[in-house]
Amino acid sequence: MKHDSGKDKWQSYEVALTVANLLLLGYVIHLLVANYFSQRDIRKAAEIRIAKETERQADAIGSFLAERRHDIEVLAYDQEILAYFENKSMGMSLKYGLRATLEQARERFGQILYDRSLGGRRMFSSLMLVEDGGEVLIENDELPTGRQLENFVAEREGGVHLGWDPENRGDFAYITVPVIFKGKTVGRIMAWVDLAPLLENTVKKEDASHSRWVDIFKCGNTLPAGNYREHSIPGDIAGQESVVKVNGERIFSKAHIVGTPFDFVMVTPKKEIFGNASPLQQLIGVGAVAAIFLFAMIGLLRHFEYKSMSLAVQESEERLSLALEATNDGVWDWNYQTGAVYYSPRWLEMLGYGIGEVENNISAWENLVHPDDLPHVRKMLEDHFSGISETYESEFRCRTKPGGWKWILARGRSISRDHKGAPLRIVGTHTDITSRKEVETLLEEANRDLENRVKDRTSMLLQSEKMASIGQLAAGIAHEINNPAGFVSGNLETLKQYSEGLMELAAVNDRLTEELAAGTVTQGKFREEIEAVKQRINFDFIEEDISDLLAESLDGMKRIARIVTDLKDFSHIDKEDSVSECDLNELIDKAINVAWNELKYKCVVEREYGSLPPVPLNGGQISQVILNILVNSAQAIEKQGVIKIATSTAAGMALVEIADNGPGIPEEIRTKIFDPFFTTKPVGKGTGLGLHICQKIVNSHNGTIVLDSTEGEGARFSIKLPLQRAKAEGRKGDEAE
Amino acid sequence: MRPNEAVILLVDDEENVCQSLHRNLLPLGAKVVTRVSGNEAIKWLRENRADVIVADYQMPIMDGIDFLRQAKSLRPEARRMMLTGNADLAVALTALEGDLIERYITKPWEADKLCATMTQIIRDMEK
Repeated sequence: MKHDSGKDKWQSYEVALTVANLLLLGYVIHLLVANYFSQRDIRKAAEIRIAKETERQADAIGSFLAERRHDIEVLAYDQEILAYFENKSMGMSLKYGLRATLEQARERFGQILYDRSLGGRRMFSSLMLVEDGGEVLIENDELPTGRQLENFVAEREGGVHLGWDPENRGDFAYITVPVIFKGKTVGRIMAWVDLAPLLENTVKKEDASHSRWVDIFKCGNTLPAGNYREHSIPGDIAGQESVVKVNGERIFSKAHIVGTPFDFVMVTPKKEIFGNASPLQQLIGVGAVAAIFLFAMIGLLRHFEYKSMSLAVQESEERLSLALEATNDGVWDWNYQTGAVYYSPRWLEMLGYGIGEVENNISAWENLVHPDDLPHVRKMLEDHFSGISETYESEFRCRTKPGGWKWILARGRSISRDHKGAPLRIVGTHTDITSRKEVETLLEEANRDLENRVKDRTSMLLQSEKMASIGQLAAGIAHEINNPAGFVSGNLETLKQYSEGLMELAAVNDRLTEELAAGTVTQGKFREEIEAVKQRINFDFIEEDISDLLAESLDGMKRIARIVTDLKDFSHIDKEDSVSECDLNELIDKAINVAWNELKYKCVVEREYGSLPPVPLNGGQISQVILNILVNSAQAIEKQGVIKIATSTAAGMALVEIADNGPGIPEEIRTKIFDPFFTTKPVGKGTGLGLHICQKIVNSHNGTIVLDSTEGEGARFSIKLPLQRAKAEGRKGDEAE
Repeated sequence: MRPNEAVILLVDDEENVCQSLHRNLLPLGAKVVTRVSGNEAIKWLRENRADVIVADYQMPIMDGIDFLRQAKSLRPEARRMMLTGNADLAVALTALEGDLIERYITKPWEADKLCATMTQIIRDMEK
């Protein structure tokens, strides 16, 4: 028991553990999912940040370039330069003042060229003043490598221009501004802005350790390779104005530089922004860690559980051995070969003996066993020795020292056998079951008492069920009586009228006879008057009708009398054993009469009575059986039917067969119809006891009642009743067929 | 209508009841016709006029209610009564409520009362 409850405890603990694990798992999954989404959000935020940064850088470069353009525009309106063109237009020659003017202008160019610097490097790589005719007036420093001046002069006519170095290498931005004197373009300033220091500065400003690179592209173009262009730009971002795109291990971000035909592009290694793992990789990673943690936890718990279980087993074993030691049973140990037996002190004490008061052999025990019980005990031992039973167990009475008897439950088992299987040693216990046996005896008595009471109740039930069936028939019986009572009383009233008329006729006849004798009336008058009275009272009709009236009335009275007699017979309160020799056919007739009102509108009753000797039976009970079956059959018939009742004898039995051609009894309920309280009628219409009681009654007559039925063809009840009065002892012989 | 001009139809599966009723109604001088089943009575009603119809309730095949229902649709002008045992009073009351009958007569009946009732009914009828 304790072990079991421990097991239960463990089961409930395991359930709790599983729930806890599931909850934990759920929480971990929740964390993973939340982490995944937050990682995604962080990425989006990082992308937005990069886009903003790119825009900011592009704006910075834009303003830088705008400033450079402004430098050149200012230079184009410089007084020194304009002075040169004024002097020249006034015809000043180079040899004189004009050269000096030009030198001053060149100084201005130099100022710009050398003053503007970024990160220790010149912003402008080269500055030039070219006269309208193509002659280079000022050339500060040399043109960037490989540039042909003619190309620039030819191309760049018109207004201020900020554009790509026509060589299209992307190293330089190119600015050209016209010099206008007296409304006429007289020349141009051309400037090359070195982009390298600008871009370098941009990257530096971010972080020296960055492996990020930046570049400026001509709108809609990708650029040829260069110092900062070791990576190609994905084609699909070239055409877009501003975009952030993750491509492989890099993030490309691009923004248009306002006021220029340039795009700024920044390429950042992905891991610098997002770290080394993608959200999915992170998810898998964290999931793996969680799973390892879970498994570890489950394993740990299993370990503890196993430890506790083995502890529990150990404990229960200890408890069992303690229980054995503390048992209240007596122990015996029998050497089968020698017949020596060891009886434990408790064994002896149980029967009131002290140590040494019972000889240590098997016959000492046999002498103590109640002689009535001994054969059974020996048989149980034999069964065990021969291997029929695995253990020996028997209950018997043992004499105690004071001379009383105790009930003993002996259990044992041979613990060693020789090579042939014969027992060598048998060990067992004695348990005192005297009090249990006493209770059992009490129970048996109570049971017997109960059975008797049930018997009494059953006979009461029989009677009440009979009354119930009469109750159900009462309406029909009333009708059976009311009908004849109705017409008889009606007839009697008519008879009263008839007799009044007849009396009147007699009175007139008397008077006229006297008058005729007195001579106061003539013969003719006499006849005339009598005839008149006869006419009035309708004498002819009365004469004809009165015999019918009387015959019908007498018939009605007989019917009433018969019903009342039958009913009285039927409802006669029988003593349980009032069996008498009865005419079974007559009994059936009476039952038909009682049930007549139920039958006559539903069916034709056909009787095929055989000649029967008087049958010993309880008339009241058997007519109840017949009545019950008849009423059931009539109720089963839906419209017009036939009930056939046949009687005969066979093999010492009287046979009554009641068959109807109703719908029959469905197979599934055929075996149940004799069960108590089984009914197919609506609540209140039947007790469900009718056929059950019929069976009880027939059985109490040592007879049988059997149902045959084919669905759709009707039902047949066959009742067999013994022709010979049953004797208390010879029942079985009588029943045999 | 005078009683001796009336036609009374009695329907009861028991001939003796019909006879007894017939005898009791003789003093009225009415024409009394008896039939022992609903079917026969319906057959007769198809071809003949009845002023009062009296039918038993418990009859085989066609009971009093069925018969009176058919009789009502066949001869709506005829007055209808039902004969019942005491046990069937509930049926009679239902028929009364359903306007299938106007009176019921319990078995056993009293001849005087029956004649008086019948006379009254017939006198109430228009010619």
